[in-house]
Amino acid sequence: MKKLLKEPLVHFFLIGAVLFVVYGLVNERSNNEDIIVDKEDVAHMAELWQLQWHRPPTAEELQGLIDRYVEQEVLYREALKLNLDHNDEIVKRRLAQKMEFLGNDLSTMVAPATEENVLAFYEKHKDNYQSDYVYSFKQIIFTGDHHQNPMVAAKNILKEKENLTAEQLKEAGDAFPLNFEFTNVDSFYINRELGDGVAEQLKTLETGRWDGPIVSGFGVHLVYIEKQIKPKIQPFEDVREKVTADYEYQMENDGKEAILNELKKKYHVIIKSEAIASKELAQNKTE
Amino acid sequence: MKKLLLGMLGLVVLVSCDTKTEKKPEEVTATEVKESKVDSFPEKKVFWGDTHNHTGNSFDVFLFGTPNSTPEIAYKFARGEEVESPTTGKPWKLSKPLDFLVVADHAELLGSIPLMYQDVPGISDTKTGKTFLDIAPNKSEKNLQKIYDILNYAAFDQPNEANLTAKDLVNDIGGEKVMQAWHRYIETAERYNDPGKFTTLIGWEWSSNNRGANLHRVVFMPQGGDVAKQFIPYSALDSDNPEDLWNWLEATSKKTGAEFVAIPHNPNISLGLMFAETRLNGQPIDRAYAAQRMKWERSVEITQIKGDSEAHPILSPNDEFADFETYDFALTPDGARPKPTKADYVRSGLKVGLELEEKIGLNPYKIGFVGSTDAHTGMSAIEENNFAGKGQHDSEPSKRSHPTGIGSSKGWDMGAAGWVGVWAESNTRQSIVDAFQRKEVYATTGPRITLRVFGSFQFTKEDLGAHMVTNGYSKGVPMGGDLYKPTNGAAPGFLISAIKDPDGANLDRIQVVKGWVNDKGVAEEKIYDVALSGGRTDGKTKVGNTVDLKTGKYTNTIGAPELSVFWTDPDFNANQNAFYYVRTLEIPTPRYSLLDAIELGIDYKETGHEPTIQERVYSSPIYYNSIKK
Repeated sequence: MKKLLKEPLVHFFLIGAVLFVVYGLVNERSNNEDIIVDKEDVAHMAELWQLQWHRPPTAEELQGLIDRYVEQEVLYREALKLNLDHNDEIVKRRLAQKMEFLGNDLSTMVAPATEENVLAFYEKHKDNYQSDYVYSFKQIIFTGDHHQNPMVAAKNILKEKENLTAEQLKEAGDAFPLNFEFTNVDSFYINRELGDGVAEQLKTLETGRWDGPIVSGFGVHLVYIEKQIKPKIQPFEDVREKVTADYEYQMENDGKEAILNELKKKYHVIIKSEAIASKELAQNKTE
Repeated sequence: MKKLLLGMLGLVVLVSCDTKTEKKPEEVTATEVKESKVDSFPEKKVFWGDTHNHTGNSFDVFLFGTPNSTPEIAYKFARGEEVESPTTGKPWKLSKPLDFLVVADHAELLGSIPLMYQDVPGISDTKTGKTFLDIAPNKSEKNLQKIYDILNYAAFDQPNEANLTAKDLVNDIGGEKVMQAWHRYIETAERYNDPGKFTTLIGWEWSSNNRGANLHRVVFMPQGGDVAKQFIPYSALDSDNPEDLWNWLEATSKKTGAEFVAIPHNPNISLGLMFAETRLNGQPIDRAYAAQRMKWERSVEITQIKGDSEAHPILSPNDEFADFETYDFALTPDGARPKPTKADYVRSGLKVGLELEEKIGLNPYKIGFVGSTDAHTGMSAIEENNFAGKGQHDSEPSKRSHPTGIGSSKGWDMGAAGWVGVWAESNTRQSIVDAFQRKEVYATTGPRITLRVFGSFQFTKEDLGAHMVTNGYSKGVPMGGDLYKPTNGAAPGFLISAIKDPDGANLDRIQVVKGWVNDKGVAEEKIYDVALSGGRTDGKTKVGNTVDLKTGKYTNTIGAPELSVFWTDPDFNANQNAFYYVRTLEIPTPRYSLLDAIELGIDYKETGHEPTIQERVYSSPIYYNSIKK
């Protein structure tokens, strides 16, 4: 039962029920032919006007708003009686859109981004809030511009490393407009500067000696890793903003999807077209 | 019970909607200082961005059928997250994140079309709103295109089916009425600005289509929401004359402290007006005009999805690489493809500027180069293998053989380009805008090639190499800078270094494009091949082509990962004003239309375009001024 109470969908229905009752109490007019424009309605119209125009409406403008409201209400009710809303593309889209908005609203009502909720989300998804690998390293490069086979050239230098001074090793690579030393750079930065996948390759290298070769977007490298800082989970305080944004995004999506899935269960979808591959038809079977 | 509860859903909707309209805009935590550490690079670093991205707040994005495009999605996409494409609903992601983004929606009717269809009083019940809803009661593609066409006439007081005037539009769905959408946009921009990681700059587009001529300008600023909320973005409905825009920028800048950057785009469809010798009113350009233009418009968008404006083969017949993504579909409704004039392309425009300087003593077109997308999808996706199209109408390969509704163009006429590289100390609003003001920026048609250019009379060959950047800044000026008459009569020297996109193709060559004004006051141009890959000594020798037309794959077995050179102008005349800019070409790679053809299983010839292209970067020019500093 406790678990059931945590289900967004249950909340959704409970809130729906409450609102239904409240709505019924405050909107007695909806079942008869009276059109009542009360104080609140007029205030609401004036407020909308104010929002749009940054000044209150004049008496004349207000009368116009009321007249238009009444006209619209009359036509609207007559249209409903004639079922003009049925199978109207605009009405369909608008109502579908409203349902989606509703999903969003409900998710913020059911699962607001309180400190408690966000913290719980952080605890559950801690892995998403890891820092990157951070490296300090030196590198030399061998490119196809200077070597028939840069891979072989790099391996040959690596074999010779014990016989070479630090300075000689530095000079053994090609002249290339790239830093020899990188200090405290994270994986994101390394891939941005050297090409996709380079940071992954660094993970395979030993620290504290010349190692490699690895391949970048520019050529083949030998690398001396001086320091590697492993990823750690960042403290909540440091990532609070990101977690909150992620939480809200996730809740909105979850809510939307849960509601849609639940509602879909009520329908049996039959697509009668040979243009659609049978693979896509399979979606119905999960209902 | 369940059934009953489900039945109540409809009622919940009613209640919830009432509360929705009453919702007040959220309080902004705009100027709240972010605590994240911002890395700083004293010798500058290139940051990649797009200054020209449109979302559903743009009337045309909405009218082309992409109502779900939002600034949020634009920012998420640009900073590297996977999003659901607003055009196709499919997941889409950049190969690597951008560093900054300007969402620059059309200021004209900003956000009003969505509000009109949401039936917001004050918009949908105005003369314009009613007329539109009458003509286009539902949002079918045909209807929305109709509104789009009418707007393009009405905005400039041309006869139109709806008999609407520009004044109607301003009064009914423009002017003050865009405030709500403007403020909502600003709040989003503030929320996504993350100094050091991802910068959002607040901006918009002023979209003048004077008699069908594209005179659009993107405008942005380094200041935050507190400043931006003090005005409503100036639109072409206020005036379609750029001089009025500059006057407004001047006045608003004084009043609010905003620092504006305005960037014109698509000179290629400006119908002879972008780099003209006369003002919009027909009077000859004078010193005052030149000074004002140079104050606000220090760069031009030289490449973007609607084509490349660097050079045209008719205007530059000796340039074998001039015919790159040429696009000449005017925004006029007659589907015209007018002949190019020298006012329509950047290189010829710079030459017009040199000539005007001889006459009036000031160059109105002394500008830097920017690339951006002008994407109308909300996604800054212009990589050839990841192109999301110009807009809804060319969002998928299968649609690209059809007309786009933009001039008489078809989907495959669009080019997958471009972005801007910015040499800045840090990835922050101010630092990035400062780089635009210095013109230390360059344009790419897609690949993120790192390009450094320095000019000086003091350089020697030894200045190249490991200390090039230090030497470049200490002895010379970077791209966008000015050189002045030397005392010793020497020719200017340039340190140029280009490094390939680490995830892209090798480089073919570096070229210097020079323009100068001869003794008769007429401007000329010449292109120098200054660095060639593969040990070639003659630029006429082509680099080759590794693209497999069946698979769309290429290899980096030709070309070079980096090229660098010290080059001195062999034809220098100290008495002639001149500009020098660098163009660096990649080896041939597949155009997106080839990849589309492979995916669709059709012959690439059906796309009407060459299967391969040589992508490129254009540096902002360094100017030589034949006067002493």
